[in-house]
Amino acid sequence: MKFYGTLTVNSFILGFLTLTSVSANVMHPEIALLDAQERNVLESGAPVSPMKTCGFCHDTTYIEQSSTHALVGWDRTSEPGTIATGKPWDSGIGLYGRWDPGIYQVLDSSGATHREKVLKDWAQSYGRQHVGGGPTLELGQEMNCFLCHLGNADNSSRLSELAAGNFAWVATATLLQSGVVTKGSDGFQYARAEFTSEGKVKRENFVLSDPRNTACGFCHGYVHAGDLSVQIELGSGDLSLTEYRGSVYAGQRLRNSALNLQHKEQLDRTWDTHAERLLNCTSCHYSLNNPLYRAEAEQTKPQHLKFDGRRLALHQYLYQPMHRFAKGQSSYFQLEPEFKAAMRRCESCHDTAVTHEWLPYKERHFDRLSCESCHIPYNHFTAREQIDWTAIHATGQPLLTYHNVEERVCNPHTYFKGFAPVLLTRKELDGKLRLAPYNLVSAYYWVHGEPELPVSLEQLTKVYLVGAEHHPMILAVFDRDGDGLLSDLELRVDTEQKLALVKDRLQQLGLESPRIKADVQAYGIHHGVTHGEWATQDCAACHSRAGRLGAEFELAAYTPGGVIPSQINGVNVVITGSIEQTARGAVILKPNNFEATDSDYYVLGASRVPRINRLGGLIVILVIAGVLGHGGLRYIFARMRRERVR
Amino acid sequence: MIYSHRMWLFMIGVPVLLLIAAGITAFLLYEDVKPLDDPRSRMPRPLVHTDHATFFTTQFADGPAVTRACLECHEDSARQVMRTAHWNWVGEEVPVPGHEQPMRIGKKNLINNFCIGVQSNWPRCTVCHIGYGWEDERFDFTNHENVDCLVCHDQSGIYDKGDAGLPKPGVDLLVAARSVASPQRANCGFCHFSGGGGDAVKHGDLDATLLFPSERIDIHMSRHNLQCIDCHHTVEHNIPGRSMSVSVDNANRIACTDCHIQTPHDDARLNAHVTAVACQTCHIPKMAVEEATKIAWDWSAAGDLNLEQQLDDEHKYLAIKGKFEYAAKLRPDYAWYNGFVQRYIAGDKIEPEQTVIIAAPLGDVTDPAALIWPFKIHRGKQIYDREYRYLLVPKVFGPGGYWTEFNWDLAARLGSEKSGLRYSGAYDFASTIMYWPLSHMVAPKNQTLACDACHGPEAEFDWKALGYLGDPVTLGNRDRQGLLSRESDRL
Repeated sequence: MKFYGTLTVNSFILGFLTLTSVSANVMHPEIALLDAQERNVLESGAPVSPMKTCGFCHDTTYIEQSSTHALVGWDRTSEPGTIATGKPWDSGIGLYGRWDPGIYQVLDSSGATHREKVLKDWAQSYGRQHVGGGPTLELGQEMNCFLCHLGNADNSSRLSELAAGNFAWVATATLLQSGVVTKGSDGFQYARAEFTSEGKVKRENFVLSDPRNTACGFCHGYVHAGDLSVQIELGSGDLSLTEYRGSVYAGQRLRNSALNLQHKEQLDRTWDTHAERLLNCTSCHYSLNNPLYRAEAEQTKPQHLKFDGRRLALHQYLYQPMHRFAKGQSSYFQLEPEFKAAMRRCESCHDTAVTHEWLPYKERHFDRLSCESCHIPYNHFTAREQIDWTAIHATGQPLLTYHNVEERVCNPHTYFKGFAPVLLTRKELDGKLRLAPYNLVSAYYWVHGEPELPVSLEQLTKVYLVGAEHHPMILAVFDRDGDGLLSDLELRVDTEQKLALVKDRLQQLGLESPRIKADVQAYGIHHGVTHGEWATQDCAACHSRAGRLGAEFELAAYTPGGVIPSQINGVNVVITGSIEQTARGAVILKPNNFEATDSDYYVLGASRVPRINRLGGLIVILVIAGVLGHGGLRYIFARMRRERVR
Repeated sequence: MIYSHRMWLFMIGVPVLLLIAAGITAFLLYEDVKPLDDPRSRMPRPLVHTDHATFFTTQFADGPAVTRACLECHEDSARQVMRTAHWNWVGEEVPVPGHEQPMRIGKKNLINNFCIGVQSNWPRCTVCHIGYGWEDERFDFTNHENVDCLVCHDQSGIYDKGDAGLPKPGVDLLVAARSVASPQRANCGFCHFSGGGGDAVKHGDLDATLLFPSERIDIHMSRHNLQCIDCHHTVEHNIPGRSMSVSVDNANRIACTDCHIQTPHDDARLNAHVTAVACQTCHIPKMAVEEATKIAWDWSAAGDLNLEQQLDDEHKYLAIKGKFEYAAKLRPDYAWYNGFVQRYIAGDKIEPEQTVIIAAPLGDVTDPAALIWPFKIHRGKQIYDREYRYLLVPKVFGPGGYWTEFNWDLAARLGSEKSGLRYSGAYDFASTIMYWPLSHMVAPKNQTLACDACHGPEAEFDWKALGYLGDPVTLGNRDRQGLLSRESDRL
């Protein structure tokens, strides 16, 4: 019988059988894992040194020095109080040096004498989002190439070693999932069976490639891959894209997620249309000397050139790939402003003129609106609204409030009603003001002394906790229902008695004039983009008095100590409007984009110019008067004429 | 009032000039408007059915008596039915790939990897024949009265067929006859939902959930309440449609494009897929949406009554049939399919050490006529003759059959007497495979496969197994990858 070849694939089964091998970068050669002395770890048993291992072929010194992810602003720090856009206690504007209320840990309060402690503190808090190297080199933690480039990097093991202060083994722990190393009671052991006879790691379970989206997701936000339904556990300050912006990078339809979203059955849109269309994080945030993507900034590009063909040869790039990645212009801290807006803009890839034929006054809209304003019209999930460090849970965590959720967020039954990002004007590099979507997050925390300094987590713990439970004195005042436990509501510092108690306990620790401070940070939203069908197409969404431009936005659900934040921080953002407190105690922003004098916005249907209104009214009155006068005179003259004829 | 000549000219001329101006304006403003995908407009309009409730007053003695009554008015109907594969269980003479002579093939003479074959097992298999009394090889295919009108037209819901396709005792034929109307899903489903011995067994996309489906199960049969014959538009009792298990040629098919336009998507990239991907591939993301379908049947494990008692699960093991595997909500397998089929014909030699392909799609990446289709794959292990090296048709049903005697040698011997395949006395079991293309259980458009189901590193979809050099999303389609056969292009 003649054989007819039939080719078939069952991706479902293959997915399990082949795991990563299908997409493996088969061109990457097998490598030997070297320690810091360039010995094979199989012989030395010492921690893997990514700098030496990868440095065997790549210029890891250059890579580290060009890596924002390794340096994180450490190379640009200065004395506290000298950072113009920072807080008095900030010593930098990067992940290293800038105080983040989400992570809270305050650094360098005691000066250079406690350098190692400060570094350790930083590495174990902020360092969860740090790839190693840079400031942590002193602790023996090298830049961890495997975290981003190993297909099955083990981030949770990495974090465990970090938490344990086992810095030298952090990179080695990242390899645990690959099976080349195991960890038992006697520490890390390399698995000889996973190495070739030449001492190199077998390629099957050790796939080195471009960073996958999931690798970026370890530190930046929830990234979804595979067939399972999207399920997100909130509460970790690590995932800033998701926690602070509500962004989820997933190609799955919202209706197929495991989340309890409002109107879920109607949500046929995907979480992000770029994820749906298989764009990787590196498609936009590429290495700035990647010859495939490199593009000169509009500001510096000669006008006569559309494309500059001079590029790095591939071997040069592979030897020295710059680890500064293209970024936009509204990153919430101004680290490396020279590389700001290096990323291609939406219109670099999309021909907006073709796709917006329906839109009247196209140029006017593009001139005044960022693409995200319409293409991120609504966040169906949630994002942080308020971080309250004025009180802490028994776990040492702050009180977190998320937009429009009915229950505690970590509960799988939580019902997410979503929220519309607030539209604020953003001053862009071309000097134009464009409306863009933002989330505003308020942070409440105790400060003390002058110049002021946040109360450290250690001190806060002493005030609120005894061991793993709330202090009896705190319970006595805070525990309204007397059940011995403090709920979120009970923990709020919302009475004079609570305020006085905490102040008193802080003073007992030697802190001078402790007080509650509140500020609001604006977070630009650029992910979670949807395509035209789901984008804002209703003119009245903006062109009406009740439209989005003037919609109130909640900044805080309650005001610890009665403090109302007075200003909103944000790079490039021009915030107009007023911060007010509602009758139920929430704090809201009433934006005033269309009446902002410096934004020069006039939005048909939404903006009001009183003089024109008055002029219009006058014209109507005059017209009526004219008609009545003219008619009246004609009537009178007609009567007079009739009288005369008679 | 008398109008002057000039006035008449003015009264006619102005409207004419206006019309010309309007025409020119319309021409200038005309844009190439995308054709609307309006499938309803392309569907046949069903005939208004005549209520038969008053036509019959006396009880019918048997099935043929009902047929006689039908034929009094529908004189040509039996003749029409008798020209179809539904009646003959073989089609027209067609070339069979891999065989020199054209053949008439069909359920009547083919082997599958479910209940294996009709020959010697007629009474049980012909429960689903569109006739009365086919209990052995002597059945009279020329007798009009043997045509069973009720199985397709009964709307009472009480009609039921037993062995040899005869009405089951107790069925009130008068009630059934008075209820007749155009076939509904339940009529077709009587056989097509329960092929292979039970609901959802044979097809991965046809089962009883389609009687009253939700949109999740099938958008056509739920939201639009389509009946089978709305797509399988029947003319003179010839019901179009092709089953890969019994047909090898590419004729008499129905297609999505019978109603939908070829490129109905708003997205140009999606429309570009139609040159390589069948509509079904994306629009049937999962098969067996609700009821599990059988994906493996191992006859060699049959005969263990203790195991049957121990497992006590008819979806895992039956002593008379062997071991099974079922699965639901299963992602289909994908293969190229150009409409033609590679089919095992009774008597074909096999290599028992290799998996025997009983029915599989033809076509590959080089074939411009081939599209990537979704399939259910059914794997079997069934009896073959060790000496003659071909698959056997065992007698499983009736006296001496395996289901009563649990004796494979006897079953093979009795089966061979009827199938004409000589039996050497030495038997064993060979692995077999059948492909079943999926066209039903079409999901709503918001539940179709998304890009990342097949493309990108996370999809882990083996494009190379389909003949591509790599993922077309980065390497380009098969044309750009230089895979399409230019010779075929010219043809």
